Amino acid sequence: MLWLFSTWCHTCVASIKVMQEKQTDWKKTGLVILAIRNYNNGGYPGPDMSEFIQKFAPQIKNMNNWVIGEATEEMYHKLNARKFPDIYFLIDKKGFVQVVSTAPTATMNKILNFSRGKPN
Amino acid sequence: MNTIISALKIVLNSRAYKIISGVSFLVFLLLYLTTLPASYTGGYSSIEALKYITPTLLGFSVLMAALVALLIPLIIYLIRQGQKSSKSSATGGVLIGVLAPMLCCSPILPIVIGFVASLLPTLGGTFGIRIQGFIATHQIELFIAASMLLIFSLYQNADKVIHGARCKL
Repeated sequence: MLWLFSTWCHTCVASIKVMQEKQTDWKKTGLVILAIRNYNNGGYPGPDMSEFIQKFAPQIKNMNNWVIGEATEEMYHKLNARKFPDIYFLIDKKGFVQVVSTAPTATMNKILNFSRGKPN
Repeated sequence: MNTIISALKIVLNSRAYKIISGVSFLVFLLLYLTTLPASYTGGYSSIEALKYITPTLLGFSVLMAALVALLIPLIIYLIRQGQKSSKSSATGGVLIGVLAPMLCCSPILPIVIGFVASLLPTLGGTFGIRIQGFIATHQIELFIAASMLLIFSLYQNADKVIHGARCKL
């Protein structure tokens, strides 16, 4: 799962909490989560990445299926052309994007289904 | 304040208006309870959104639902009296309260801005993000503004109930 988000967005706060809570599922299914902050925080100021993670999902720093980072300008423009504050891509083992959606908190079933190999 | 209380005493003296007020309160309370936390669900307004209700959002939901529930009987009363009611500030108050959480962090604005930008490229870029960022970081202020508009509308309509239609000289 490649998830681009901004730290000022409420959906992103709610989503990272829920994603952390579902860690048992991700461990079972082998889902790897790349949680990447949008370049320049999506064009609006907000907490930096370490502050955001520390405040809302401190446990993910110790989980080896999570990768935390910042998007480059090129990555941001290529993958998030419409400038969503919160967008994710579910990518299968072959590297094909299976699902593109927003707000993991509201679309958790898509992520759970994907990670369990069920159709969406 | 006295104007509002006096007008409400006149209007809510009738059982029918009390029922309208009670039903409006319940309908709008449900609307606000499911809509105000929509900024946490990517703009999806549903019963699921109730999980994200906070004491602050609960307070604003009750306040705004109560204000609308007092406004609706006044507006209906004025219409039935053949007077012109003030609906624009009431509509503004309801729209700000409902739209702010739905526009923040949801795909609605990026899609709309993307469409507008295809017609007017100068409006593209990060314009949508700035609006969403502003809404996300000033949500409480927007709810206060929505409540103020509803109170203003309540006063305007209450004044008309008390003083009746007045000619402008």
